[in-house]
Amino acid sequence: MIRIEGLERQAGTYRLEIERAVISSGLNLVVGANGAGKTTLIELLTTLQTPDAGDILYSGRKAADHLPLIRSQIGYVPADIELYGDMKAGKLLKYMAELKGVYQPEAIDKLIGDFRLEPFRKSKVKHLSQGVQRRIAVVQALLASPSFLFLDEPLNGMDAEERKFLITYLTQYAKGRMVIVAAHELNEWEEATDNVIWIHRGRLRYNGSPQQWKLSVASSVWEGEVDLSDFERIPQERLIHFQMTDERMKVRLMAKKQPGPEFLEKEPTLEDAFFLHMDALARRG
Amino acid sequence: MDHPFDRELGKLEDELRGPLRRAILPPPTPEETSRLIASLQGEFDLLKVEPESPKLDFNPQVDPPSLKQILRSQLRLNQRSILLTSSAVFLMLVLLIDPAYPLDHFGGLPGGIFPLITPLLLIVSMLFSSRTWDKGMRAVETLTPYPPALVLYTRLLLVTGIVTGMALLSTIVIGFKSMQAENSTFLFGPFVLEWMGILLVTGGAAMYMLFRKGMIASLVSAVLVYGLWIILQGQIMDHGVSMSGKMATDIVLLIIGVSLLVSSYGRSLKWNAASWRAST
Repeated sequence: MIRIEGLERQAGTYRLEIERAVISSGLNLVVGANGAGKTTLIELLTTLQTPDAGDILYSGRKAADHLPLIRSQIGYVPADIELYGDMKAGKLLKYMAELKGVYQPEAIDKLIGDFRLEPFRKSKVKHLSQGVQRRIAVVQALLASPSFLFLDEPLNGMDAEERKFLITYLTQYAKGRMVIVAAHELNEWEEATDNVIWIHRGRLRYNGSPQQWKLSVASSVWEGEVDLSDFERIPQERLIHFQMTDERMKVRLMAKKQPGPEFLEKEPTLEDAFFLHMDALARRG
Repeated sequence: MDHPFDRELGKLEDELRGPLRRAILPPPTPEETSRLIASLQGEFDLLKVEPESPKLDFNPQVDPPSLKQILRSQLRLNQRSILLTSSAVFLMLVLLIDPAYPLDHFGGLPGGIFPLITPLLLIVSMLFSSRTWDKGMRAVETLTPYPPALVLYTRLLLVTGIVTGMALLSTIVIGFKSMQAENSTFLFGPFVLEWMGILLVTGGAAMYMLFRKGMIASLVSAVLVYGLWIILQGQIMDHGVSMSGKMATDIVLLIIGVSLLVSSYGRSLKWNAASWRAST
């Protein structure tokens, strides 16, 4: 469990401020628009950044007092990481394992097997595809089986199969541990998410179950097919998703009331809920 | 029928209607309820905290930190570029130095070319190897269970070791060449002391400052020490200091250098909140 108390950190033009929050074990999804403060929050939680004020407690331990202990329990996959290209994948993971104080080769071999990296063990990292490099980046974070695992946009560069595998793996891993994922593509995490953390302009707007997050929206989600001429009349800010089908447009939009007889109300997804919450904030000004 | 009690009761109700209206508050609106729940979210979160939840322990999968283990892990990191660069530089030095007069001054500067180039190579190598340029890699390499400065210390120590090793190897080669040269004045001890003294004091000063004032101060102090050494060499040359006097100076520099390196190791093991803030 992570407890945040009076956390403050200046990050560029905005200030991240979280008065009080508790993050429990399970898979936590950090959502927010670009520049909202997701990465700053993750870097604070990983101890890579220090707070200007306030404290973060990791199962009762303060980072300022127990940093090596806490770091022994932290794994991190940054959004942008350029692994050492001239090193072979196996050698790089061995180097990272030793750097983290993990000396059992079985621990590395198990992860290499789980993430199907065996064929690439002796290949130089720079010759591997982006998806494989991303898998290596995830494996390095898992080397010490950390209690707190942080992943910033982990699905970037992965193909559909790799994405599905990673989400399934993390769902299992999060049982009894804490996994915190910052993501833009929310629907992929729909089934896996135990908790949603919504950051908006440096403030914590929501920290709770995904069900409650979806139920607490002010508008509804509607889906239907319309003619192109009707589609053009729909205000852009109402649209969530649209797709051309023959001469008509399949539209998913948000509205308080049914926009027309051709529209049916749909249960909001995580991504819909995000749009609806953002829309409600924009309306409030 | 109008009963007197009913009239009194009616009168009483009329009198109390005003004060009661003020006392009875209207029911809260849904928005007010939402705001109240939101404001209490922090308290709800606290209720989730199990008061007797166990404190976090050091990861049992992780071995406790030791200098030997970190040195081994750092050896795994690709040191080839530094090894190749220093090999090329020292090969050049071996070829440039006149085996008959290896301690002769170079290009009008006081001191031989060997002790002039060696500390410079160390400064450049330290700068090159101290941290990776990629922010992501830097982040994951920072998240180790060791005191943050210890990893940096081992990395710099390794670079110092590589440069010192290469310099020693070159000295042996120069020694052999000198033995074969006619009228050679090569003296192994003073030669080694001359370059090793300034090399270690430069590296030691850089590391000492690194763990106290940061990277820029570290580089500035290394360059400053190097500059002062050149001035000192000029003074030694001008005043015609004897070989033994010069050796004594080099031994003092060597001792200072080793002391600074040992002191930096002690400093790198110490952990406090201030050093965490400095490292982020």
